[in-house]
Amino acid sequence: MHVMSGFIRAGVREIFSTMVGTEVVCDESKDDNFTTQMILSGVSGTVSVTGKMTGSVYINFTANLANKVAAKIMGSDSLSDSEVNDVVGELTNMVTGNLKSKMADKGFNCALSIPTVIRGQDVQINPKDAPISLQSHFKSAEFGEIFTVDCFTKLDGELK
Amino acid sequence: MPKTVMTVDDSATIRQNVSFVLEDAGYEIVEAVDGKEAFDKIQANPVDLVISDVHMPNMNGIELTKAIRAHAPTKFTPVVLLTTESQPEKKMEGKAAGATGWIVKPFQPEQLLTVVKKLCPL
Repeated sequence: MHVMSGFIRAGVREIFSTMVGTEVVCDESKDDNFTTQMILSGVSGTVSVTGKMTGSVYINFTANLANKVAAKIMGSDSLSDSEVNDVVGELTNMVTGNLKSKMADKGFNCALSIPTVIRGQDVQINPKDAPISLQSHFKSAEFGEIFTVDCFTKLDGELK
Repeated sequence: MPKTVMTVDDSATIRQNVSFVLEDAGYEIVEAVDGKEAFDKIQANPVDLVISDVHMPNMNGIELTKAIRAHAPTKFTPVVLLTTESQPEKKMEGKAAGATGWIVKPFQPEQLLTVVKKLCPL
């Protein structure tokens, strides 16, 4: 497992436990390295990083799962798309911020963008110049559906 | 008279989470979506404590903290920065701007409440 995958997985577990109140597990059997393309479907949040680490982090939920997670956090079942987007954006911000902190401790300081949320089916993402491409699959017993966290980055130096 | 806390964040999710916790404890809440709106509201109606995100459009949390410290009527209002940033140098930047405290997201409700009760007892 890549060092950054370990950071992402620990961060996602902590954030979902604290903010969503649900325990998520990572499917370790899924290969965390993938190549040149990612397909988003549903509701996805993304935050870009720039500095000693450059690239993007995505969290990809089905629309149904995004609604369930947002309902749990906000304490309401009747949320607008805009409110669900906000929850997904904030979760993405926290996951990326958590990764940023751990990478800064390794000497890769960077700045974060404000989150962007993408809705749609079969949105093709082709990262450019991202030698590190990682994908982690998560699931909680409570919600039953898988969501993914994808990270495309390039580091200015060697990660030890 | 209840104490008033302002929550400043461009995310409605965080504003609502902060509001849930503090309203439950007996605080009155005022919300703002960025530093600019927060400072406009504070000048019109001072609050007892400000809890602010750092990364926001228009005016960020560090700039807001500096503005609050530079404005005589709010000079001593406690400001807690609530952010994903946890690097010591970022915390130092917040402290240098005049921030009273720093909480890293994700936050436990009890952690938030402990800090707020300490800085702004009911």
